[in-house]
Amino acid sequence: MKISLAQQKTRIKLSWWGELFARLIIGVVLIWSGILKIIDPLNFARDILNYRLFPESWALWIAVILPGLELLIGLLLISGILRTGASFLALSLFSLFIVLIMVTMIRGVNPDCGCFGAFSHKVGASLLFQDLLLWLGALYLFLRWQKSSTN
Amino acid sequence: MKNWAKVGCEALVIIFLAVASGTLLNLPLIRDFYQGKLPPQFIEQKDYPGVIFISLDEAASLLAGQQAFFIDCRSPQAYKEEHIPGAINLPPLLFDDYFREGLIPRDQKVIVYCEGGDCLSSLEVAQKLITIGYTQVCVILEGWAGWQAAGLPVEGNN
Repeated sequence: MKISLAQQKTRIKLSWWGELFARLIIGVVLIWSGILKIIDPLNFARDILNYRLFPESWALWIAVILPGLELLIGLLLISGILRTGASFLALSLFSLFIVLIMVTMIRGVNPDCGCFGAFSHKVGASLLFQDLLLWLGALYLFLRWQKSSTN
Repeated sequence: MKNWAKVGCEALVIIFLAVASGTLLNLPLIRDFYQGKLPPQFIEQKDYPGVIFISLDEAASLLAGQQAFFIDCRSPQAYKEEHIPGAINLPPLLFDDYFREGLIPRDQKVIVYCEGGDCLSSLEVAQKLITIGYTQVCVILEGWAGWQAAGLPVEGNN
């Protein structure tokens, strides 16, 4: 089926807006969450321990590295620098978070998620849904940018 | 294939930058951790106003001098097996059902402990006690695991 030039232009415009929306939302969420954790790494380390999955040394290193990684990915997604790698890492991070949330829910542990420093809420279905939406956004960006870098 | 190599290279650059900046920014914290200067479970006293954190040695000498009342916040099964001599069992979930005036003396230091490691139930019970007016509430953050590892006195069925 052939599509007209006008339809093609509309599609391009829509996908351009879709990409902008996804990168802004995911970028801002990651920057916000990274900054709140960088402010108080010890509090974040404690939140990680409360998942009862990691020993203290792991919790410390996650608290040292993850906030900076989130901030960096957020900035790169918005600026468009190293965007394919950044979107791949965002997709990987959200995949890990989803697995972590599901495992925590199955185990019946009910910690604060530690996602947004002092503004964190409990691990549960709403957090899972929120992360699934972000995961979909990251997947969209990754597929789109990977495709465009192939062409 | 070339495309995936590009993705991998970009991702590695980002990870390297995050690891380097995170490590540099938190050098004092990492140093304190490996020198054993950070509190167990990263719990800081300022987050639990009113709770006195005491060491295993302090708790052991208070036990020897019969100067403190011990509360075990672990499960009733774990308590039955072994506990600190003289301790009563009061897990946070049973606190409201079991607590009554006179159960825990108010004129003595009260020392609360749980499993140790990543348990927080001792802090939960300590906060409940402070809320109802207890003023000398102490917590052993090393918990039962630390007490046992130090070879301190225990009593129980085992």
